[in-house]
Amino acid sequence: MNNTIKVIVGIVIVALVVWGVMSTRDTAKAPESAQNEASEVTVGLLSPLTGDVASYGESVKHGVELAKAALGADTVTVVYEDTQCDPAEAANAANKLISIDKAVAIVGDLCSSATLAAAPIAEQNSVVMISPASTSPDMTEAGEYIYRTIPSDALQGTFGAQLVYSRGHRRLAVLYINDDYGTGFDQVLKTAFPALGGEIVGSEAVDRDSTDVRTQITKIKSANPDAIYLISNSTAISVSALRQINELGLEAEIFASEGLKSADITEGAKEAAEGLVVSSVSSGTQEFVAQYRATYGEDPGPFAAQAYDAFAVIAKAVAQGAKTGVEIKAYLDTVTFDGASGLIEFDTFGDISGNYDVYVVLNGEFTQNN
Amino acid sequence: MDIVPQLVANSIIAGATYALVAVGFSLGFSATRFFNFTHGVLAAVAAYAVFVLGSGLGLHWGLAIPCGILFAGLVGWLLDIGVYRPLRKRRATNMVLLVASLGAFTAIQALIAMLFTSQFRTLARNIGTQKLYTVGTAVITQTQVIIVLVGIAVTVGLAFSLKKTLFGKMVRAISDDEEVSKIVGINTNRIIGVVFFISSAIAGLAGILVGYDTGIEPTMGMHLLLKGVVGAIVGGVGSIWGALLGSFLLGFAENFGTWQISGAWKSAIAFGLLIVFLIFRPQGILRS
Repeated sequence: MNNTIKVIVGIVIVALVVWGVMSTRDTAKAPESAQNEASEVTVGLLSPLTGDVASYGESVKHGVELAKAALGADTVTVVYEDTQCDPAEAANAANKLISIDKAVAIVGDLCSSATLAAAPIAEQNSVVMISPASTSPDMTEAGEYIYRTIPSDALQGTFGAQLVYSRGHRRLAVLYINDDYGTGFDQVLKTAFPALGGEIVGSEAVDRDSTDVRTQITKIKSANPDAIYLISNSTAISVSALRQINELGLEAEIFASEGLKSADITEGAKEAAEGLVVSSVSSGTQEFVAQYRATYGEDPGPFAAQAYDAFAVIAKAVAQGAKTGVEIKAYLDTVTFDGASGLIEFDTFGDISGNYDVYVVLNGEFTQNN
Repeated sequence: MDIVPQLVANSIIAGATYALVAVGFSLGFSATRFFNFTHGVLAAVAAYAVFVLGSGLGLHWGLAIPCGILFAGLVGWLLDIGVYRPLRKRRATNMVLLVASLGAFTAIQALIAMLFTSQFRTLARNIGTQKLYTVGTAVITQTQVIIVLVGIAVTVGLAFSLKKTLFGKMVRAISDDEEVSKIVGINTNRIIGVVFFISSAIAGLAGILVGYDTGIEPTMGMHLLLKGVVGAIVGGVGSIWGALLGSFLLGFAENFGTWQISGAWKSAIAFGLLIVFLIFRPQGILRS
């Protein structure tokens, strides 16, 4: 190819890439006709819009959009950032939201590791951060500006231990994902279950995105548990673990954390997921579920109600005149209202209490079984 | 101690999976002498092709799988014609080819993610009702038996054809010295194109088998590639039997390491093994 053609092709490719980037920028900016008032407040959303857990990111995004529409928060601009649940990406995105978009509050992230990576940045810049899904007990001490609308695993772990014990099991093995979420939950189970009188007979870690969990399961099998607790926020691990437990003939009741309450799991693991018991936070009040169905034509996904509440509480603060992170925080410290996922009232650490529902997979469907 | 048979079975399954990737990678590396990243993403390409043909269009697996393998081979061959051959013509260094392959890898992986979303899916239809074989206290599924048999068969077939056929001789000649091969009259571009087709097809086969055994997602390629590369290097890059041996060694090291230490250290063990070999025996177990 001679030089002219090369130059033309080069320009066309660069133009295509730039166009592609511009057209997929998912910013919900207010129309230009509205005056660009100084009173406009920017809120960022950190979530995995792509990647292994993109389905959670999508339901959270819907929750935020629903809240914005329902509360008529026209002075609030939402900027979406994709973090893929990766800590490094979350930290970068938080920096970008704070320094470039001048966000005064952030909803996110979902995975505890990612939130914990972004939290110091929000804390330093006095930006409020509310996570709708990070349950690691480490979040409690993460900072003054860090809140969450989902209860800590310190609570879910205790609930889980009681659930296992109440179903007659005394020998529990834990298979957990090797990140802040998994290790946190595992630690809580290790104290809560023995306290009830049971025994933790085995505890194995799995790296994110591994699909070969056979040897961990083999080790657990040789310890003869009557129940297994599966703690994972990665569909690849969850589906592979369920299938391999089934293949290796491990006879034990399988319990799982809320990340597994998703159609991806029943579709991926099919018969291997039958009988799976999942402890889950509330999927939302009747009202919220109806609203979600009316707008999106399907039941709310995991954490949608929690994301709705996270955005709602920020929007309420803005409606009261708060414009900076400091002012929003002042509102959060005193707020109490009935949100889409339950009572929203933050304690001194920015945590909330909560109830858990129990679901069992019967014939490929999650049925409530409290 | 009665979990040892199961651990051995797990190691053999893992080793055979890595071997499929390692053998194809070794073949490609011996002919072209550069680290080809796209080898990994072709596993994903074939797996998604089978997904589209099997689940989407409803083709029988006996038809969908060969089509998937051929499709991966075709994509690999097109990459050679479109990307690597022009670069080779301009005497690009191996570094440049590596970066080009990384670019192609990222682009293809992103394309798959855009077309199919990143949701983890599985190709298998009969989960929970698969045939299980018991060897002592070890349990192994039908798909896993197929993986092991295919892995060994492909390695043997490839080693045999490299040694005995004319094509194999030409590949070995190119691997020794590309310039002299041209002088001797071998059409190096055409042979390298065929090598790309074959190694990509093998990578595709690996991806399809993994898809049946566990599942597929757009990022599956990198993981398979890295483990396959460790197996190939540990075994001796460029040697087909070495790739097999290295992969099995890796499989055993990972699974027995997980048994003794912990599952969280699996990747650390794999790469630790690589580092040990690179320091003490960089040419690998078998010299090529």
